[in-house]
Amino acid sequence: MTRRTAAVALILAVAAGALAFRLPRLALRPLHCDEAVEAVKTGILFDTGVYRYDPHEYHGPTLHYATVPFLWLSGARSFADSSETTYRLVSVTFGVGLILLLLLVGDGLGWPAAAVAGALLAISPAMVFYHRYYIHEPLLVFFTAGAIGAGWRYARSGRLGWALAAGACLALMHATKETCVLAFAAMGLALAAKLAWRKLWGETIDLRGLLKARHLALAAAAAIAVSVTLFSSFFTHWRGPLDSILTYKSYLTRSGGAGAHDHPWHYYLGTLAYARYGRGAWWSEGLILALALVGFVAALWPRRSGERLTPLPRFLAFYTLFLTAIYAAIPYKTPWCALSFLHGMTLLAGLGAVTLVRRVPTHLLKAAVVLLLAAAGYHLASQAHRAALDRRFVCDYRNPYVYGHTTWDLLEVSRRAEQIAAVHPKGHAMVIKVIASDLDYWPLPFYLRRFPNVGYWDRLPADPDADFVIVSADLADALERRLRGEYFGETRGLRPRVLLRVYIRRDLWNAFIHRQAQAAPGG
Amino acid sequence: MPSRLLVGAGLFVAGVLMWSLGCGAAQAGEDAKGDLEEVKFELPLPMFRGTPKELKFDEHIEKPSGKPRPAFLAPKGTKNVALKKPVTSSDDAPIIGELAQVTDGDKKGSDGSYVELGPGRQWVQIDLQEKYNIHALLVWHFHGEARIYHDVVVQVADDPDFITNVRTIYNNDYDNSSGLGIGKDLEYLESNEGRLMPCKDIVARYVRLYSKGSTANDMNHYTEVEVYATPAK
Repeated sequence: MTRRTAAVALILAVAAGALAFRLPRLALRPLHCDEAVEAVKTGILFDTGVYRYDPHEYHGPTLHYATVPFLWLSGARSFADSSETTYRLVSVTFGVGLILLLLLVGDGLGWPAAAVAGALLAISPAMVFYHRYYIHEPLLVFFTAGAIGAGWRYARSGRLGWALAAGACLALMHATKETCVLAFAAMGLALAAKLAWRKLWGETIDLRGLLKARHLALAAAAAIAVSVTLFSSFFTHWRGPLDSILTYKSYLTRSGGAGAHDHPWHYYLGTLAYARYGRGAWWSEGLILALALVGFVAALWPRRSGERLTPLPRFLAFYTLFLTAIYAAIPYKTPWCALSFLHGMTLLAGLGAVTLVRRVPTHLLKAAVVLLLAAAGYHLASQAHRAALDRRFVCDYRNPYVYGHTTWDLLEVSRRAEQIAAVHPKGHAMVIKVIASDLDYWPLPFYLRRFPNVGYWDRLPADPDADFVIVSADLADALERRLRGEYFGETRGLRPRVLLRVYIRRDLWNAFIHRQAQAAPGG
Repeated sequence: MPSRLLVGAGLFVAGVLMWSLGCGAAQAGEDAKGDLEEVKFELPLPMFRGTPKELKFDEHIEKPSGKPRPAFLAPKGTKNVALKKPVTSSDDAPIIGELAQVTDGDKKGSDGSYVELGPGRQWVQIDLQEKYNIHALLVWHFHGEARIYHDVVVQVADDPDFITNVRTIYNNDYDNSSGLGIGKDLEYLESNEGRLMPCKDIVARYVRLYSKGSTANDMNHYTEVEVYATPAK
């Protein structure tokens, strides 16, 4: 078996192993409000066949269109039938696909380095956690890796097919999330820096024959075709492609700062390096950061290390450096955005691990380094398990990957609605009114998806009475003054320190309690 | 004549009142000196004042009185028999702290004084190591901030598996969401005073306390549990 065959087999095995962290109990954690928003948008597409790109919110269409086949396969007849698991399976698929894409760059990175990078991608806590999250990042990073991989294959082979694939991947990045422009900028800067670096070291640069104008034009055409197809909702909404460009006006404003998601420049790196909140466990992806640093040095100074590297590691080094710097510089930060540059770091970390082992002089020391890396890898994997599969941490504030997450308590609201529907003469057709300032009630629309008569308000309606009323805590007193009927009230959590009040029509509550008393031990 | 009658009746009523008050005082004095005496609880320092605005005191939640708790009378010789006694739990590996903290005598509302169990319904169980005549429990979940723990249910039994002679001392699960029956007791705001749960004619060896998260988060915390009892005859 050649080294390449062994590495390919290892990458396939690692991809299969990655499922062990990503696939189990996908419905374990309540949906984050962003996940619910995307699921509801997908639900509208599934139920009505209509998708309209919104340039102000919700990002691009690929997540929604990619989910539809999963919903078909799940057997769901409508959005109301769908489950959290189906939506999150989309992210799992693209997350595992990210590892398989290493097959495109194995000869550029070095097959052993690609295999190690695959293992690190499989067990990185951030990767595992967000590959179980129904958001755009797993798709964005997948298409980014696809663009780099196809670009690399084109550089090696000069075949038109790879140019077209690279163009399509760039378009899919665009159609996934507006932050793709940050990756585009990092790629462009990395290519320029790579050439400058070669010139600095006196290497000859010959770009003739590397890019064929016809291929470039056809790749651009492929990119435009893919982007227009998706943003126009398959040629039914011609405003979409234009909005996909105009959207950057609102995103530029948002990224400028002074918002709820503003964090200092070191937020991402600090969180990845070491995080500990209160007396809880500590978390660190320091292994990946440290190995990425070694890989970065090895990529830029290969002659000093005696290694013969292809141009790809050098590109990856600059790309990761620029992308990390760009994300650090933008005040608007949410932790899942880190996946983009963490992907680059993980590839470099694979290179760094192999470099470390190669540089150590004796077999005994090499074995010691391998054992040490394996132990650190085990620690990383145990954190991934804790972050994604330990019920105590999956939405706990001490988990650094948890960000403004829905509390378990919110599930009690939908459970209560189901309980009351069970005693209501009209069942699920009972009337539910949800009233919350700034429409801050997500992810309730997902959890109340089986109730057809739900209304949502951002201020008190003239007639707030209903069978079941949910209100944000700040409007509760005003609501109580306006309610005419008799209600039973209880308080539930939406997110940490964000409370909701639930009012249940008294007769329905009494009927429910009567049923509960009969079901109770000795009842 | 009518005025004389009125004065006479007034004197009679006053006399009856004086007599009954005197008897009551004498009885209370006898209780204090005889079978019952006030149990002096050692309370930790308070960690917060007032109640946060966002907490609504529904009909199933007790509104804080703002006054110190009245004296608690119990048979002479009543003391905390849970101190340093072994503790087990539904969560074998607490996220924070150790189970021994439930009976270690440290009732402070600070970070290092509690054990934290996982989300959902969890329980801690104290083995008193022999049967006691239990007169009250005093429980602190976490009083570092204003919060209300849900589905607080306290049961006692004669065996560690809670199969034999299980009795419920306290239950504020108003909707049977924990599946132990609907409770009539009220939910309450945690404070440095702890929650006093008096009981009568309860002889048991094992005490189990359930909870199901709080208004603050989904976790379950136990700072201290005291069991005030006298040896069972």
